[in-house]
Amino acid sequence: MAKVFVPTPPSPPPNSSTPAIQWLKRNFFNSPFSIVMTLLSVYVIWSIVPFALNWAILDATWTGTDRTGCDANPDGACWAALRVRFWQVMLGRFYGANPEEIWRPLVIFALFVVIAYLLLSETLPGEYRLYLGGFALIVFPVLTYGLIHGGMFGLKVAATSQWGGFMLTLILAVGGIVLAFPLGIVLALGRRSSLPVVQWLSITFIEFWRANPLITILFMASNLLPLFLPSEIEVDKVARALVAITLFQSAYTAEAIRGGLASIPKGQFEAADSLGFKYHHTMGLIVLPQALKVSIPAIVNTFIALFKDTTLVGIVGLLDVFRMAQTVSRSTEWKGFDYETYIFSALIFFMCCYGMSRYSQSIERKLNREHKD
Amino acid sequence: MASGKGGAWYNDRRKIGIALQILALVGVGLFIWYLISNASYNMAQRRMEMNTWFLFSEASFKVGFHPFWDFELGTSKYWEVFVIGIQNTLLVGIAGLIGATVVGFAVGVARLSDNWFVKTFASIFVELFRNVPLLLQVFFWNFVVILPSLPSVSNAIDIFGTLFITNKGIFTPIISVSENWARLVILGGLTLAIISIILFRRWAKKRFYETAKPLPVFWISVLIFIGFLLLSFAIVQSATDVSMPQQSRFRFTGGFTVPVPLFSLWIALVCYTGAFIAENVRAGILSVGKGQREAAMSLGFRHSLSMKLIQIPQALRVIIPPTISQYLNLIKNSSLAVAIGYDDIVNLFMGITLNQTGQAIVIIAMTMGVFTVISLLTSLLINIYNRSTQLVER
Amino acid sequence: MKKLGILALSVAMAVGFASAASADTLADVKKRGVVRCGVDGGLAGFSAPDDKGKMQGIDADVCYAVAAAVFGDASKVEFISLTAKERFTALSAGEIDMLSRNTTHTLRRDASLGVDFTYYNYIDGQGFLVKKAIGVKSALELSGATICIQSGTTTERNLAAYFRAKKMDYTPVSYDTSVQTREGFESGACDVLTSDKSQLAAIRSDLKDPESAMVLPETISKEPLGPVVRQGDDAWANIVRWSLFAMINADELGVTSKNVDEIAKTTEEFQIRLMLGLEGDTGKSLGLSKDWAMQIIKQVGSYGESYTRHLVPLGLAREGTLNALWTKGGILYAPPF
Repeated sequence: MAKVFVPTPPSPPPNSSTPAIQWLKRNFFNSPFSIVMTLLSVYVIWSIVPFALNWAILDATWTGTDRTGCDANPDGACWAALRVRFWQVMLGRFYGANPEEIWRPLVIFALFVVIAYLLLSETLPGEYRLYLGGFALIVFPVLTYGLIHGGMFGLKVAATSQWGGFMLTLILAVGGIVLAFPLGIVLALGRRSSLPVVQWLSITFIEFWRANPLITILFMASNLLPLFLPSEIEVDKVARALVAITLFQSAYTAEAIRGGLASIPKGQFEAADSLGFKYHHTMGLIVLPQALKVSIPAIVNTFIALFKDTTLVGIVGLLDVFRMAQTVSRSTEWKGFDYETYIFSALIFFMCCYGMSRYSQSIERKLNREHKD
Repeated sequence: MASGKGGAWYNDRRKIGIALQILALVGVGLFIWYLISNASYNMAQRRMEMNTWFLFSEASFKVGFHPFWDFELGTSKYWEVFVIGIQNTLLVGIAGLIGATVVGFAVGVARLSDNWFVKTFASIFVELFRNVPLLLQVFFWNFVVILPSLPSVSNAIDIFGTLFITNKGIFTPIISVSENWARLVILGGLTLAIISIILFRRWAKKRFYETAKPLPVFWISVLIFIGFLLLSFAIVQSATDVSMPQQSRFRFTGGFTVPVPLFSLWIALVCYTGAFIAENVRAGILSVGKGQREAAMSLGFRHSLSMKLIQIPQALRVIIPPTISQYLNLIKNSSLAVAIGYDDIVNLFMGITLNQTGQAIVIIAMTMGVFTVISLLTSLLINIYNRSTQLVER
Repeated sequence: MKKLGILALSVAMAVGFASAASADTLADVKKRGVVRCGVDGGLAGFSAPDDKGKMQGIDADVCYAVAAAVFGDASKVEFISLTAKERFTALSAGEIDMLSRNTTHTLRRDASLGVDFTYYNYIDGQGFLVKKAIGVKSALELSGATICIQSGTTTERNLAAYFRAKKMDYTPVSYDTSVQTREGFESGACDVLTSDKSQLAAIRSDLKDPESAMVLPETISKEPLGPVVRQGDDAWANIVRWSLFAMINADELGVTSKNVDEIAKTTEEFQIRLMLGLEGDTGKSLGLSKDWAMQIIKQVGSYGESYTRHLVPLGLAREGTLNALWTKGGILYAPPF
């Protein structure tokens, strides 16, 4: 007797509920665990969000020149404290005390934003970008120091000991990465060099600074730099911190660029060699331009880390934006408004770092696309 | 590579290379000599002198937290402060990396959850803790959240009369072992426990391959460990002494004290590093081909089971190397202890000892030496791991 | 190739900066047009900026006095805020011309740091600030307490020595700055805070609830605080020292910024006439103008005025303490002109 093939009946079509319900089910009620988590989450949101919204925005005290308004309204945040001291927190003691001079750092900041935009977006043709890069690396730092420090063209002197706030954070972070950049390129090339001595010197330098936390390097700079330099050279606190940050950052930049160098196919070197290029031509005209482009996301990531790490200068006595904000809640006038100052400085860092990490991710995606084409 | 014979020497890459290297060595040597000569001139000028014998003189201050090393004011030396500093740094570092691994894996997996809320909360966690400076977080946890919310000693949170939580520290009972033979027995017990866990895992793996029936390997391992520990303590019972925290006027004495700054620093490090590890975990899981997951699904694996048995084991190869460098970052970041008064090496040695003795060069060199050694060991670990996984590859 | 750059740099530095260090601080200060003064910058009563950002306090006043003596203009001061750790390095490295940062004079510092202590502008002593809630009335009851300390000072050493001598135990929590120490105390990390008594008064007045804490009567150390200069420039040390002496002498002679013009017109007292430059020329030997002390008194005031302006509001009375004049039972005594 021959077996008769009896197909199993087809399974019924998928649940014919509407797409919206399907979507809900997939995202919120997929399994018992998922259901529990959804309910829990709704409860947490329900209990936190209205409270936070009321405290931070709806019931907050936004105006006022002293704490009476804030004391009368204990259920809301006291943003008035930060409003009154806003310029001090952003620009430090000197510019906080001399409102008529605020235009100086603001002009520099505007220039910085324009230059950064022009360099990073692709609106300018390559040649001009090169010139602009030169301007940003050589002229702009001098201009920044001249305008912010003053002392010439009849500008009031703002001694570096009076610098602070977000301005100082930016000066340290941007100054650090700009100064570390050439050093990083040299170190990266050195580490990939075929000359063993150069290679080992570079590796030692890079690994030493990478092994140590920035705090110990800052301590080192503030305790040992005055000893190791001739006594005629006066290195003030800001400069010392900048030296420490530069050494620290150069090691990380070098590693980022080394990653870029490693991604350049060997054929590029060989082609350059066979065309009779000298080392500096091969590197300067062929390899580095490609490698730097590839390493941009990694460099941006090290910059984000550095930007956050600049808060450590507070430990060696500089007043960066976080410390400056803290002095508000520790002053006699506004003592006790700790949440406000912490949230304010956290928000500043969050916006900058999140923005930059988004930017680096987008570059990375673009590079990946180009790579595939 | 090398150019033809008979050309000028500067056209010969090999010779140029040698010349460059000599030049580099001479340059670096000159620079170092220049720094040293400045330092010796400046120190003579300022009547400072450099020595290392201060390490063997008595410490002039008291160390607050020294869990595995006895410190006696008046007899303990500065080198002991150094040892305690290293030990405290490693303590918060190791506790931190365990916590950060757990949090990192949980959040990393949660970011790929199919529940929208879980996914979103995990993303918020990662972006929030990653993008705010750690120093700010350390301050916030210690001075704004933890210290103000803990009760004073007289109102201590009392957990079954054994554990007391106060703003002066968390006080727990501790078992102290007084005899050397007893210490050996416990050591032996621990070794046996580890060996049996390894043997059990081998057997469980074999059994799993043969029968496809998974065992709760982790929990059984924990049970084995606890069992051996209890057994060895039972054997040496006569030589042990349980020290319970006793309330005194200002704090609890006896037992073991976890200082509040240690706790705050630990939480901050766990959240911060956990956020970074979560990103590694997510990237690792995503790096496992989509096909693997789809194949698991079509074989009827549930989401959680496919994660556990198929995706994560494969992802580990991508996850582990960057995670080890996060561990290194965590240990470096533990130096933020100085901001909240935890006695790590930077606070104790580079801070207080430096101030008391003025021996800046020696102390800074020793402290940076510790971090350099830790970092070298870590890279060694990464290299070993990479080599071992390379062997597995086909 | 990069090493070439470093080589060139080091050679250039070695050649360029090989000249000997200048030891003439006065000439440097005059050339620069401003006195660089190292202060704490965050310690009410001693040196802390007011609402307009001007540095105020008795330490800051010494800096103003030196500027008034050198330039005839007290405002020519640049204040540099220093932590306890970095103050001596900053001084010996030439980053500042003088250090006026509640610095204790000790043998070790005198002998091994390459600095010179001039005189004292505040006689202090270490004490304890305690929470009233713990119900302690004397430092001898503190055995077993948790104590917040600012590290980097003589405080740590004194505390250890005191507790050892009294056979008491304690648990230290060391912070980096005075602000963190206060925060630790306020948020309950410790029940006791130890520091110089003047600082305790300032810290207490800055607490959210000053009434919750009190200063214990014991003083466990001698802390003579005063301005410090670099070793090896006696002329400059004299200027700083005598600027302070001028303020103290003015206090003793009853000359203040309010009555100095009046007194200058009428006085016949020889010491006052000498001090105000009406008789002889005390400035010449110091390298200053004739009316240097007059300028100090006019623009900064006498020591008594400075004390009343900055320390009395903190609750630090002067009567009956060591900081009163020697004629009033204290030990403040300045040599004659």
